[in-house]
Parts: sequence; structure tokens; C-alpha cells
Amino acid sequence: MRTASASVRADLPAPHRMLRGERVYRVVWKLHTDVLVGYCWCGESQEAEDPIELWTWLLDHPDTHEEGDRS
Amino acid sequence: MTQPTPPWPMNQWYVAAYSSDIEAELFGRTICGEPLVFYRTVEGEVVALADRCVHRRFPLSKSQLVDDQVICGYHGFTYDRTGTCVAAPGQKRIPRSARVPSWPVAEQDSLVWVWIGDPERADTDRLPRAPWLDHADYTTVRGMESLAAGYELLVDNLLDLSHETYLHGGHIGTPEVAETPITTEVDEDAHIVYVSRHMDDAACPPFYARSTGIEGRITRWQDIEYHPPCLYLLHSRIAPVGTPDPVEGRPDDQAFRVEVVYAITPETERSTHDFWMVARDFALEDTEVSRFLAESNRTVVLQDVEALDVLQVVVESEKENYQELSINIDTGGLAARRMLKRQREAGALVEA
Repeated sequence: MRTASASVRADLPAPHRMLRGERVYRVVWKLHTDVLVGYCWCGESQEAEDPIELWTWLLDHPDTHEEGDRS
Repeated sequence: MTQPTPPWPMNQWYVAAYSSDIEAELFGRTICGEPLVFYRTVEGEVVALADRCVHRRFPLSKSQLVDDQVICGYHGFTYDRTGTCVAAPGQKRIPRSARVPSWPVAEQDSLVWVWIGDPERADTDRLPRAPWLDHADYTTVRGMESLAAGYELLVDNLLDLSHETYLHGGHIGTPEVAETPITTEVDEDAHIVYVSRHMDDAACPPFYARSTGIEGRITRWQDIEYHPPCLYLLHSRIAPVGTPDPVEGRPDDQAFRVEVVYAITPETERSTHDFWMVARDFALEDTEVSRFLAESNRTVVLQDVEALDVLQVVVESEKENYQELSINIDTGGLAARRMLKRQREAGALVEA
């Protein structure tokens, strides 16, 4: 596992959610790692170590994001 | 039915100038490949017309403004604020086609915006806001640099601030910027890309140390809010380590806030108007702080300009399908690229 430098408190929680819209994708960089965690507005989430792979998943999954899912 | 995808998003507002740039004289500037001429009428309204006389293409910006009318400096064709020709030399009747296009303009937050696209669709409700720029609680310094590179290279640059550590060391960059993980959010409906980098215990770079007077280590928050295609806001919060986090509804008066604003306006496919503004909520009357922040930010912008001008040449000389590598720091930049691509593709659609 990679360790953070002394000057960075890598156990900081990720910043609070900033955007309040209905359809917000959120990608958090998992602390102490190179892992990104993507959260879709529908509630699904996925981990990846490649941002392109993660965006592809966020945008393509599932193929049933219908109007009803937004509630 | 579709037409070729335009090089920039159409049916969008772009910053054309600062309000203070546009006075009762002719001001020429190319926006998204359109040569335009701007002026302010006696009533204070900003006008944007095509910068070419309909007769022999002479630039109207090299002409004369008299009583809110532009008189072409070549043969005297005279246009009113709507672009209609109201006088032509020797003509009793002015040809019906003698008019130059006019462009929807809006003025807000000390910025002059021009609508690029179908004038019928111009909607001022869609103008993104940067209220600090002319707010009494803030003091703003600003400038504009010409970039010999496409606008997307500047978007890439501004969405990933880890480059501050390497390109802007000694000014705004410290090791913590590149080392601190980011969180990225994308609002699909509001068209916003948001990238947060919250440094809990960081060195204070000269840009903030000299302007705020903070001597020790700082909590440094960088919150990017990008409204593609044109407006980029960097909400920067600086506070001595140990300062409590802000609580909504309560004053956060131990912290210093700097709102760094960029307007990214394509001039041509390979050149960009790089508008930069720095608004602060402290030392409002201190002209030395203003001078220092203006000079420092201009230095930083020129470092970006130099790097991106080089990059443009390199990118143009590359083989097709060059494969870039993207890592975690690029999460926000990738989201911005995607949103811009979708906006460009929307410009290729023509309603039946």
C-alpha cells in the first residue's frame, strides 16, 4: 500500500457532496490507494484504477436509466 | 439531418470582453471564428455586429462610429445598431440585402457575453454567474492573454491543477497540490463539472502568503466549478491550519477567499482568448496586494500560455490516433472533454 507523505493527511474524508442536482455522477479517489470509486446518481457504484474505464462504466450502466430511476 | 460537427459548442454564450473594454468606440475581436465589432451606444447598450462591410468586406472595426452608427472607413456604407444599412454612397434606394448580421449580447458580472449560434435561441437565463467580479465585498484584478492553442488545451490545463506543482512552483504550486486526491462531480442536467481538492495541511505558496500575510502552514481548498464551454470558477479558501471548517449560515471570517475566474473563449480553431480574473474578499483597498496578485497571476497565466503554445505545435504534428495516458488526476478533465464533445455534437444537429 502506498503511504501518503507526512505533509498530507491522507485519512481526510473526501469533501462533502458539492453539487445538489438530481443526476450527479461522483468519483472519489480512495485514500491511500490509486483506486477511484464512481457513484452513479442511480445509487450504483464501481471501483476502477483507470478514470476512462470508470467513466465508461458510469455512463453505460445500466442501460435502463429511465425517468423513473431519478426518484 | 446533420451538418459537420463544429469545432466549438454552438448555441452558447461566450465572454467577448470585459465591460470596461467596450466604450463608445469600435472594438474588433474574433469570437469562435466570427470577426465581430463591438461598441457601446449612447444609452449604454453593447452592440455586436459582423466586422465586415457587406460591400467590399472592409473591417468595420477600422471605421468610424458616429451617433451610434458605424460608417465604413472605405466607402461610407452606414449601419445602425441592428446592422441595417441606412446610407450608401450615391444611392437613392439602399439594396435590401445591405445589412450585416448582429449578434445577441448580454452584460453581467462585469463581463460582455456574446451568443454564438442561432440568435433566436439566445437565452440570458443560461448565462453562468460570477457575481464576485463586481461585488462590493470583493476586489478584482484581471487581464487577458492570447493563447496560440485550441481552447480544449486550456480546459485540460485548468481542470487538473496538479500541474501547479510543476509548472507554477514558487508561485501557486506546492508539493501538496499534486499529492492530494481529488473528488469529481458531474451534473448532467446543469452541465457542471466540479473538482474538489482539499488540502488539510499544506505549505502556503507565495501567491497567498504575500497577499494574506499568513506565515505558517495552511488549509487550502481548491473547488473548481466549470460551466462548459466558457466559464471556469476556482473557489479558493485559504486559512491557517487549525481554523475550523466553515459552517453554512455562519461567518467564516478566519479564512481568506479568492475566486479565480477564467473565461475560455475560442478565437479560431488554434487560438484562444484567455481571460483571467482574481477576486478576493480581504485587503480590499490595498493597492499593493492588488498589484502583487495581478502581476503574480499574469506570470502564472503566461507560464500556461508558453506551455500550451508548445503543446499545440506538438499535438498538430502528431500522427493520427496518438494514444494518451490518463490517470486519476485527469478524472475531471475527462468529464469536461466529454461534456464539450456532447455540446459540439448538439451543434451539428439541424432541426428538420
